[in-house]
Amino acid sequence: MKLQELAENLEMEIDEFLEIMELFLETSAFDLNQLVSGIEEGDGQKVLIAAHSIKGAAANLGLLEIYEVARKTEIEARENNLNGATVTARAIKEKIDQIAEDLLKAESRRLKPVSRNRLK
Amino acid sequence: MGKKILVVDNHPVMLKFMTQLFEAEGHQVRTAETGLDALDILSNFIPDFIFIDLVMPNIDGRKLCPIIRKIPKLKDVFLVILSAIAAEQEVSFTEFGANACIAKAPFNKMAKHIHTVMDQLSLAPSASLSDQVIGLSDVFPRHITQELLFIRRHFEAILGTMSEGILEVTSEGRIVYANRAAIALIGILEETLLASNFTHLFKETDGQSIKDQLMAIHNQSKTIIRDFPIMINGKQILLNIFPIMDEKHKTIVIILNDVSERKRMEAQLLQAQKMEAIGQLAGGIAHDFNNLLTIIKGYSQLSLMELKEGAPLRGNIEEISKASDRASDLTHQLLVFSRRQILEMRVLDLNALLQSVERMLRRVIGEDIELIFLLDKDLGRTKVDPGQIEQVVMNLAVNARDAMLKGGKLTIETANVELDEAYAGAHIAVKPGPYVMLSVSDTGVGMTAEVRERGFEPFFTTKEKGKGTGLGLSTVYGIVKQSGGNIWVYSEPGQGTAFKIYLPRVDEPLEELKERVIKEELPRGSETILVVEDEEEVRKLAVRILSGQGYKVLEASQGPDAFLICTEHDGPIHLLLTDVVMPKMSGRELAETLMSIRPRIKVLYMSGYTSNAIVHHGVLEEGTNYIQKPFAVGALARKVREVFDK
Repeated sequence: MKLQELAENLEMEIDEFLEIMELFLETSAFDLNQLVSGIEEGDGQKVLIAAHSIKGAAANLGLLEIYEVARKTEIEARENNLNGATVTARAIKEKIDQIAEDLLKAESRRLKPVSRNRLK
Repeated sequence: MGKKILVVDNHPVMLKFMTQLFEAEGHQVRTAETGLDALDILSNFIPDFIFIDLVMPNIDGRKLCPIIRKIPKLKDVFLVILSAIAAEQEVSFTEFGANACIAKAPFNKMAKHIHTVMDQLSLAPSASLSDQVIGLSDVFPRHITQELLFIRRHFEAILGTMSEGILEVTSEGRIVYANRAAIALIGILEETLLASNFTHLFKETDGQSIKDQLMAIHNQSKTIIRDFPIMINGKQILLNIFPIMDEKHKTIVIILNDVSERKRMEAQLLQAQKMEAIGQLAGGIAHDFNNLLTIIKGYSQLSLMELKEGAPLRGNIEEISKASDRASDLTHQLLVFSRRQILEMRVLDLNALLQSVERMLRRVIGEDIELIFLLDKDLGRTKVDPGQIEQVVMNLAVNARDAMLKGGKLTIETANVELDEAYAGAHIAVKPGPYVMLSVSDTGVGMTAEVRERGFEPFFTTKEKGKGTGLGLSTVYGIVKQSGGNIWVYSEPGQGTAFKIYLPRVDEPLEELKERVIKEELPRGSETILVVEDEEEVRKLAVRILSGQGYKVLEASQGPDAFLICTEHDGPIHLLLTDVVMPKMSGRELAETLMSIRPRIKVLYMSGYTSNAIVHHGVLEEGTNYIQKPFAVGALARKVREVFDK
C-alpha cells in the first residue's frame, strides 16, 4: 500500500502523515528490538508487550497487514508459544522496512527532510 | 477560539497525531507520556480539555481522572478518555470523573469523534455527554487486548491480596503505584496518595533520610533494607527499598511491613522478663531479710515483756520494734511482688468480696471522690486468696485517690469474659479460657507512657518522697500473677487510668469466708512442743516465746536431731513447729517421719517463703498449718493455740 493512499484513507495531510510515520518507525524499531530479544530470551511477556505496542499503532495508522501479524504474535506470546514468533517477527520487520523504504523515497522526492523533533 | 489541550498517552505516535490535529486547528497543545508528567504540567497549565489514555503504566487514566478532579482549579476542565479497551470491557468512565470516552480507532475516525465531543462539551458544559463510549463501531476487533488486561488484572489481584504494602515511586519519591495494603497502612485515599511524595509522609528528619536513600538507590541501583522501623500513620513500619529496571524506565519499589504488633509483643516480652528478674532479686533479698527481722522483732518484743513500765530503755526498744514492723511490711510486700507469699485460695464471689470492702473503700478515697460499682450480677466464681484480692483493690483505690486530688470518679466494674486463642496469642503469658474481669478505673491525672511501663516495678513511684513506698502496684502485680491472673493498665496523661485484672473463672461451689477473730490476750498452754529451725536466733526466739506462754519446749536445729529427740523423749510431744526449708531434711520430710512414730503429733510449719514442700505453686495444701515469718510474739502464741484447739 502506498503512503499517499494511506494518508488519504486517514484523511491526513501528507506532511503530517509522513511525520507520524517517521515516529511510528522509530517506536516500532524499539518494539521490534524488544520482540526479538524477547524471543531469544524465551520471555513471552516481553514479546507480548512489544507486539501489543506495534499492533496498537498499526491500527491507528491503518496498517492492516502489520496489525494482523502483530496481533497473531501477541496471541501466541500470551500462550507462551514463541515457535512461530521468529517468523512473524521477520514478517513485521519486512513490512516495517518496506514502509521505511517508501518513506525514504517519499522524502527524497519532496526534497525536504522530515522533522526529527522528538515529542519529548 | 483556540483551546488549551493536554494529551496524556504513553504511545508517541498517538501524541504526535493529537498534537498535529489540534495545532492545525489553532489550539494550544501540551503532551505527557505518563500520569506524573501530566500532573506536573497541570501545576501551571490549566487546559480546557484533557485527553487521557485509559491504559498506561503506573497511574493510568482510571486513577488519573480522580486525582485531577481533586485539584480545585481543574474542577471545570473536560476530561475525555481515549480507550482502546472499550470494545472488550465496559468502561464506566463517568464513575471516575470523565466527561466522555472515545474508542481508539484509525486516526481519521478518531479525529471526527474528537471534534464531535469537543463541540458538544463546549455547548453543554459541565455535563457528561452520555455514558456511552463514542466510536465503538470503528474499533478493530481487539480480542487480545482483553487478554492483556486480564494479565494486568491478574497481577493487580495478586498485589492486592498481599499483606505487605507495596509502593512504586520515582527517584524523587513520587508515588506512582500503591497496592491495597499500602493504601490501608498509610491511611490516605488512593487518589490523594498517587503522585504525592512518599518522603512527605514522615516527619522532617526521617523524610530527609528516606529521600537520601531513594537517591542512593536510584544512582547506585542498590537495595536498602532498613532494619529499624519508621513511623507511618502511627504504625511502626519496616521498609525494604530496591530499584527495578525495565527496558525503558528505572523505578523504585518499596515494601512496607507493619511490625507494630511484633514490636508490641517484643516490648511485652521484655517487660515480662524484666519483672521476672526484678522479682527474683527482690524475693531473694526479702527472704534473707525476713529471717533477720524475725530475730530483731522477736527479741525486742521479749525485751519489752521483761522491762517494767517506765524503764528507761523501753522507749528505745519500742522504736526498734516499730522499725522492724515497718521493715517486715516492706519485705512482705516484696515477697508478694515476687510471688513467694503463701496464698490461701478460696472459691468466692468477687462481687460479694467487693461489697464487703465498700465501706472501707469509701473511707480510703474520701468524700470528694464518687465511688461507682458496676457489678455483673451473673458474675462467675473465682478462686483467689480473699485477703490478697482485698489488698489489690485497696492498693488500686489508694493510687486512684492520689491521682484525683481535686475529686473525680472511681469506678469498679466486674464482668465475665472469655479470652480466646487470638487474645492469648497477642498477649504474653495469657492462657485462653474463661475469666472474671475486675476493672478499677479513675478520672485522675493519668500516666505518661514511661510511668505506665515502669508502674509495676518495685520502688518506682511518682509520689512525693515519703508518701508512697513504690510497692503498691508491685504487690498488686505479684498477687494477680500468683493467682493465675493478668493485669493490664490503660492510661494517658489527663485521661485517667484503668486497670483491668483477669482472674481465672472456676466452676466450683462457694466456700464460706472464715471470720477473722482477733483476740487481745495471748493464749497460754502446757503442752509439749518440739521446735526445729536451722536459724539459731529464730529458733531461740520461738523457744522463748513458747516457754513464756507456759509450754514445755524441746528444740533441734535440724531434722535428724529432732528425730533423735522424738525417739528418746519419754513424755508426749503434742506439736512439731518446724521450718520448711532446712538442710539435710525438709520440714515436710521431718513431719512425715515423726508422724510414723508419733501418729498423734500435730504439725505447724513456719516459713517466710513458699516452697514445694507444703505448697504447690504457692498454694497451701488443704489442712496444713502454717505461720508466716517473721512472726510477732502474739501471732505465734495464737497460732499454736489455734492448732491445738482444732
